[in-house]
Amino acid sequence: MIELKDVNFSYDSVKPVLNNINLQIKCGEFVAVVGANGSGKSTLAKHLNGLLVPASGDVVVIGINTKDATKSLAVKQNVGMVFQNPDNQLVSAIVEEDVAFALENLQVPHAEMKVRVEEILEKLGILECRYRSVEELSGGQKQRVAVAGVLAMRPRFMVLDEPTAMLDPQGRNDVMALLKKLNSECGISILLITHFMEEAALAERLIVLNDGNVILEGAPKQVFGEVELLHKSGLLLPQITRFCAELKLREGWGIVDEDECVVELVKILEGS
Amino acid sequence: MIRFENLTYIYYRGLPNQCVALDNICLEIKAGEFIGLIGPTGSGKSTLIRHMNGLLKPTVGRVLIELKEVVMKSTRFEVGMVFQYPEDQIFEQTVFKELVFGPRNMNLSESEIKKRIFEILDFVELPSEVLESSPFDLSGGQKRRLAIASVLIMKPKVLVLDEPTVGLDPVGKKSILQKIKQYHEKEKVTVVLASHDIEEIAENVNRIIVLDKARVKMDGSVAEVFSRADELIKIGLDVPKITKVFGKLKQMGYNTKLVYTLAQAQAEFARLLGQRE
Ligand SMILES: Nc1ncnc2c1ncn2[C@@H]1O[C@H](COP(=O)(O)OP(=O)(O)OP(=O)(O)O)[C@@H](O)[C@H]1O
Ligand SMILES: Nc1ncnc2c1ncn2[C@@H]1O[C@H](COP(=O)(O)OP(=O)(O)OP(=O)(O)O)[C@@H](O)[C@H]1O
Ligand SMILES: [Mg+2]
Ligand SMILES: [Mg+2]
Repeated sequence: MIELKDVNFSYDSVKPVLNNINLQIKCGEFVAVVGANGSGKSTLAKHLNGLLVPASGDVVVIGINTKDATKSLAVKQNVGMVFQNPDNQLVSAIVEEDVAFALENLQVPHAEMKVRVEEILEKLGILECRYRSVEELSGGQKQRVAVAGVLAMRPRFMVLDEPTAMLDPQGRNDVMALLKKLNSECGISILLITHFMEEAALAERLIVLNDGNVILEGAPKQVFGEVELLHKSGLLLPQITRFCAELKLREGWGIVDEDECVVELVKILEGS
Repeated sequence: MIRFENLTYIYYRGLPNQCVALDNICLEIKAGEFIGLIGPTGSGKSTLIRHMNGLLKPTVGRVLIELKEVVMKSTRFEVGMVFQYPEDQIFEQTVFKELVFGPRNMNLSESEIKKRIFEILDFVELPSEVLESSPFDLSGGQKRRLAIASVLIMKPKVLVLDEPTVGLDPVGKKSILQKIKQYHEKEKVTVVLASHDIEEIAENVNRIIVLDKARVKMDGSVAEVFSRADELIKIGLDVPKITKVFGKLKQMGYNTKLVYTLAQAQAEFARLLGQRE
């Protein structure tokens, strides 16, 4: 479990960025964090693997307080992180080596490493880029490499800061499917930061940040009902959810899937 | 008008890692068009875009703007370009310096620059407190807003945007695009918008160009391109979900037109309901 207790943080000790955050991310959970630009999402993410430590309050990762500098390696090995900008993350010049790098640190045996790297590059559709230099990739290819590194590591907790922002629709679906699978089959806990409400809707629990405060927390369908509060926090419901909600369907807030939407529309058209 | 004549671009030509990023592209974009440029990862969108202000020089063929050939680094002011990564275009120490850089190079008066700064902060919805901050202390989405602002403040005649809404929060994304569209309509500027967000493409553009594997795969109106959903999905793209919903209704035998935006969906559904009564 990752636990945040009364966490406060400021970059310049003048302007507060995180205000009294209390949160728990349990083992095996899939949590999404949403909120306006500048609301503190990336700052929160960087607290989860000890990259930032709170000014007051504590972050405890499977029993280790992130303030304990002697255990920072253990924290980093348990909490894998995909940064908002892939350039802050990619360390090796060559794609394949970059993905392998993380595994070397975890002392994964060489033969297994090779298999895992190939497998993940294949699943993310960039196997053909394996020998290429990271520098010369397109935006979406680079982002896939950054995601591949952490997925290959299979840490207990994965924190992903807008990992699909530059992907094409297929890539976005692939990444979401992989995250779902790692979560349900391997029990890996996932914390996903995203501006895509369709992705947030797939989480078990949704956390809404506004100006450094957690203002809403709950199942996506429940949170989606708070339209005005969400709008004030820079958020809009998925397009088909808005469409259904405006038709005043009973379950309108909960409809994110096109098949569900079709079923509801047919009900209305057939007058039942 | 922007014209691409038999444009081919090869990275590392002749080397073992050579990569053909554009393969004989022929396109014409008329003044005042709002173009959506879509294509799967690595299809060549950013490479095409980088030819429009001379950041890249064609391996074969040429690019013309208003009948003048684009040469390296020539058209910086006429063509405003927002890069895929804001970090690639932000380099000053403060937000203020970043914003005045372009206008000062254009020799605008200080009073005009000042006026534009406040207009543009409002446009991208950044508070004026950020003016003295370092751009590197901004959040991802704030950096993106700054990158957009630093280009729009020059009021370019041609606006080329490489995934400009990546990282913006949903409300900001919608409103900034709406304002870009208004600017396009009012000033009759040409806009090229590369994006993976098909909803924003459907809502804003007049014409879609689809790139796939370095070539132009489709070129047409929103309706023409999105009516080929199966082909788009096959190459890793998609159509708006609302389009799929109405596609399914049609398959089930309802007499519906295809829709691409929320407004169209609402109107069409009202029509369907009316028909039933
Ligand atoms: N600097 C570079 N050196 C070598 N090859 C490059 C370079 N930049 C891009 N490429 C390659 O050229 C091809 C086209 O890349 P480009 O960046 O134009 O794609 P894109 O359509 O913009 O993709 P994305 O949606 O991921 O941004 C890709 O295969 C990419 O790997
Ligand atoms: N290195 C830094 N130094 C000073 N202030 C910072 C720094 N990084 C972020 N901030 C400020 O802290 C606040 C929260 O930033 P953060 O990056 O956590 O936001 P975010 O929710 O991730 O936003 P986005 O959706 O734009 O990525 C913002 O006001 C930002 O300007
Ligand atoms: Mg962020
Ligand atoms: Mg690109």
